[in-house]
Amino acid sequence: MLRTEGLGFSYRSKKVLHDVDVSVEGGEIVSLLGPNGVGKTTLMKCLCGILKPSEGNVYVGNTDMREVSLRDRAKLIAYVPQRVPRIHSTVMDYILVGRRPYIELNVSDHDMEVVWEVVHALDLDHLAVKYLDNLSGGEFQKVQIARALVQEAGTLLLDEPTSSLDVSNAYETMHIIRKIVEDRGVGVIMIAHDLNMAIHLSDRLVFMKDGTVYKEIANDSVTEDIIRDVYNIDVRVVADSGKPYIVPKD
Amino acid sequence: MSAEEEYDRFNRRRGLFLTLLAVGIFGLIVVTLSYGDYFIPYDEIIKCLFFMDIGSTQHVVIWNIRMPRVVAGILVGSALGVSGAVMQSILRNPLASPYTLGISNSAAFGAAFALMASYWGIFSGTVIEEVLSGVYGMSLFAFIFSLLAVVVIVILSRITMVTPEAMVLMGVALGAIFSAGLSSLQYFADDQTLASMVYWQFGDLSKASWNELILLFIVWTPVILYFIHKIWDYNAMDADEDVASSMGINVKGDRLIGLVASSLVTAVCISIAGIIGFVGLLGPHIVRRVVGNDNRFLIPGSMMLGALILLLADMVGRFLLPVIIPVGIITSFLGGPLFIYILIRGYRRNAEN
Repeated sequence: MLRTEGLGFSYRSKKVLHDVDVSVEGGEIVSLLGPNGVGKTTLMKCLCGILKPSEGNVYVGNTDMREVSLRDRAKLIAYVPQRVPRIHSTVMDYILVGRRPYIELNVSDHDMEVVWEVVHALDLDHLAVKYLDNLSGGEFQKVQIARALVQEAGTLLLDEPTSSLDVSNAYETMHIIRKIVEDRGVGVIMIAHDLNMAIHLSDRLVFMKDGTVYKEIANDSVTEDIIRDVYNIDVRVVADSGKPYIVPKD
Repeated sequence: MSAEEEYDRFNRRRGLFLTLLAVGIFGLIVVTLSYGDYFIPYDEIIKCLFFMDIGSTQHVVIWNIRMPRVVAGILVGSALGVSGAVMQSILRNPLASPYTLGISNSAAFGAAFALMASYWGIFSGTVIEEVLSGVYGMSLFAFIFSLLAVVVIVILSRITMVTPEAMVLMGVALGAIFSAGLSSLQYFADDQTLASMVYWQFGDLSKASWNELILLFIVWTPVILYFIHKIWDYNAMDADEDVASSMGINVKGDRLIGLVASSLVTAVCISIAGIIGFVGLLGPHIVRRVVGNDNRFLIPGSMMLGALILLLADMVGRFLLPVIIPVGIITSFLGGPLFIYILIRGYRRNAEN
C-alpha cells in the first residue's frame, strides 16, 4: 500500500538516509529497528511529508506523493510522533483535531460520526470529556492513536508507541495496535526499541544501519548475526512457543 | 449517560459560558454609559442603544462623549484577549501575550519615539515628517517598532533554534530593553513632551476618539476574521508541531503571520489607549479553565472576556476607588500576580514529570 523507492534525505549536505526501500501492506505491522541516530524518525517524517526527501519518492498505491498536497496526504498517511505534549484539552476536542484535513471551519455530522466510531472502538467513552492532564500514560497514547485513526488514513506511522509507558500500559497499547490492524485493515509502520516486543507484535522487521535498510525479514527469522551486525552486541536467540526470543549473552 | 450526551452537555455548557460573557458585556456597556458627569437611567441607555428617541442632549452625551470609551474598551480588550490566546497556541506557552512578548513595550517606545522625533525635528523636510504629523503617525511608529520586536524574536529564535517556549523569555527581555529605551526618551524629553508621553503610557480608555476607533476597527476586523479562519490550524499546532506539519499546516509561516497580525492589532490598540498589560494573559487563562484549549471556544471567549475585563477594570478605576486610576494600572495589578502563578504552576508540573 505504502512504499518508498530509493528514498534519501540529506541535512546540510550530510546524507542521513539513502536508498531506502520500505513498504507496508494493509493489515500488516512493520517494525523499524536499529540503533539511535540511524534515521528511523527521519524516515517517518519523510513518509508523512514533514520532511521532503532529497532523493527517491513515496507512493501510496500508485499515487506519487509529490503530486498530492500535504493536506490530502494526511488522509492517506497518519503520523503519531514519539513525544507529544499534553495540552489542556478534552479527549474529544483533541481527537477532533485529527479531522482537520477534512474540516474547513465547521465540524460536519460525518466528522462527528467518524470520531465517535473510533472513540467507541478504542473504548474511550468514559474519557470523552476528561482533560488530557488527568489521563494515564496508556490512556493518552490511546488518544494519540485515536487522533490518527480519525484521519481515515490507510497507513499509520507510530514512533515508539510504547517507549514512555510502563509494562501494563505498553501491553495494552500493543494489543490495541494489533486490534486496529486486524479490524480496520490499516497498515502500520512503527519504530520499536524493544526487540522482543517488535518480534511479537509485527509481521515484518526492517533493520536499519548506516542510514539505509540493512535487512528486511519476517518476524520469526531474526538471527544472532543480524543483531550483532546492527547493534554491535552479542545476544542469544532462543525459541519461545515458536517465536524467537532475544536474551543477552552472559 | 452516554459519551455523546456528555460531550453535548459539555458543549452546551461552553456555549452558555460564551452567552453569559456576552450578557455581561452588554450589562457593563449599559452601566458604563450611565455614569459620568451625571447619571442617565439604565432604561434610557438601552433605548438609546437601540436607536430610540430619548432627547437630543442625552443622545449626544451617550454617543459622542461616553460611547467612544466603551467602544475602545470592547475593541482593545477583545484584541488584546484574542492576541494572547492566539500567541499562546502558536508559541505553545501559556505565558505568551502581547505584553509579555515585549510587543506592548516596543509599540510604546515607537509611539514615544514618534513624539520625540517631531519634537527634535529629526525628519524635518522629509516625507516622514508629514506622516508623523498625520493622525496615524504615532500608530504607524508603534506598529513599526512592535514589528521590529517580533522580527527580532523570530530571527533570534531561528538562529539559536530555541524552543517556542523560550521565545517568550526573549520577549520578556526585549520588553525590558524597550522599556529602558522609553525611559531614556523620557529622560531627554522636555516637560510638555514628557507629560504627553507619560500620560499616554498609562493605559487609559478615555483618550480614544471616533477617528482613532475607526482605524482600530479597520485593523481589528481582518485580524479577527483571519484568526477565526485559522482556528483548526491553531488547534493542530497547539496539539503538536509535527502533527500539524503532517497535516499540511505551514507551522513556521502560520506562527509568523499570527505574531505579525496580533502585533499589528496590539500596536494600534496601544497607540490609541496606551499600554494595557496582562489582559492578553488574564482573559485566555480564565477562559481556558472553563472551555479548555479548543480554539473554537477559546478565541471567541478570550475576545469577550478581554473586553469584559477591560470594561470592568475601567469601571473600578473610575468609580469604585477614592481616586481615578487609569485602567492599565488596574490590569497590571491583577495580571502580575497571575503571571507569577502560571509560571510557578508550569515549573512545578515540569518538575513532577
